Amino acid sequence: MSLVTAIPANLELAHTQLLHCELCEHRCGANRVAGERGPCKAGTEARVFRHRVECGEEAELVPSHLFYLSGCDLRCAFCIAEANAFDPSRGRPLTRDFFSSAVAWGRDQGARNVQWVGGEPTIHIPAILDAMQGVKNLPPIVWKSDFYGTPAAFDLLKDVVSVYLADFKFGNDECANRIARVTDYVRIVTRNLKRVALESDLIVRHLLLPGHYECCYQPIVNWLCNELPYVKISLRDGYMPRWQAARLTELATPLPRGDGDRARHYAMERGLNVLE
Amino acid sequence: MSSNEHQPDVADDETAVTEISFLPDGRICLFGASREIVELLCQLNLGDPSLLARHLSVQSSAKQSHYAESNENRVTK
Repeated sequence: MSLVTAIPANLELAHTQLLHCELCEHRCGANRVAGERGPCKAGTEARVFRHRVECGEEAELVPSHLFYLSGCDLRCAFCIAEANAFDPSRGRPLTRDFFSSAVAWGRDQGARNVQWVGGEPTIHIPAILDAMQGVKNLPPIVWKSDFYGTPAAFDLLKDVVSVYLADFKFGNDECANRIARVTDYVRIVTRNLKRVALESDLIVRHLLLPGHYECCYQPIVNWLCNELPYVKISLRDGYMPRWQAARLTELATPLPRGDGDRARHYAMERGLNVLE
Repeated sequence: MSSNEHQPDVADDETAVTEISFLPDGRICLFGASREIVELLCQLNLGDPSLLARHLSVQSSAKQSHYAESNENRVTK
């Protein structure tokens, strides 16, 4: 199915999620149209707090036109977007006119794709599909996500997203709960990774966190070796303590020098496809 | 960034903004790398292969705005 037909086909179904929201695995069931709010606190409207043509993403994606949406289903203490990520009222409304105009401008700047980021774009799938429907010659879509979405959410993105950029943040549920306040993290994220790897181009990204090499990074690498040994891995070693990172002792400082190289060698020694 | 007639009425277009952090141990962290910053850092020859990979990818993409033509943003060796 082409992008032109996939978006309208999924749009009506996407809007039903707003009446009983189960886009993410909180499965709050909020009637967002009636004003009810779940943990993400998002309503029916998506808001863009930033957009830019980015050249620092993975090399195969740049230049990439990033659209940052406010509102998120996680509460990562170290989030670099800080308050913008967690308050879905921040930014300007995502409308067809704005998006269409912005995409045209981004294309003129050399952008080769449109990338949805957050916050977490999954909670805004209905608004995103609606905005994209109004664009002629839509570039390939990149979806940067925490991968905490439901199967229904990924159904809505089928044939729409060209590349998934998955943040595999934590290697165990305890760290995920303590740092990002979510439960059942590993089962949900790994389920979604396995599904998407079969359907689409996938890059698994991991932000190395200080003090979480053994508990998070190594289990992630080991899981990838066993389940997705050929997937592309993007290791990010530029962690900086932001937002509320200081409330967690080990996250209050930058990643120690050398940890990035150590992590890279660990993954490459196990045969994983680590991107530059 | 200069205004031009193609600029949509948008808020927070931060394409021209790059946040660079210099850590005490000499590492440089980038957040939000513009095309020009990637080019500049490549010219500094810092020995980071990931920068070169991004630079090559960016150079290969067609750029039709005035940024590509302006020498004001170029860094000379």
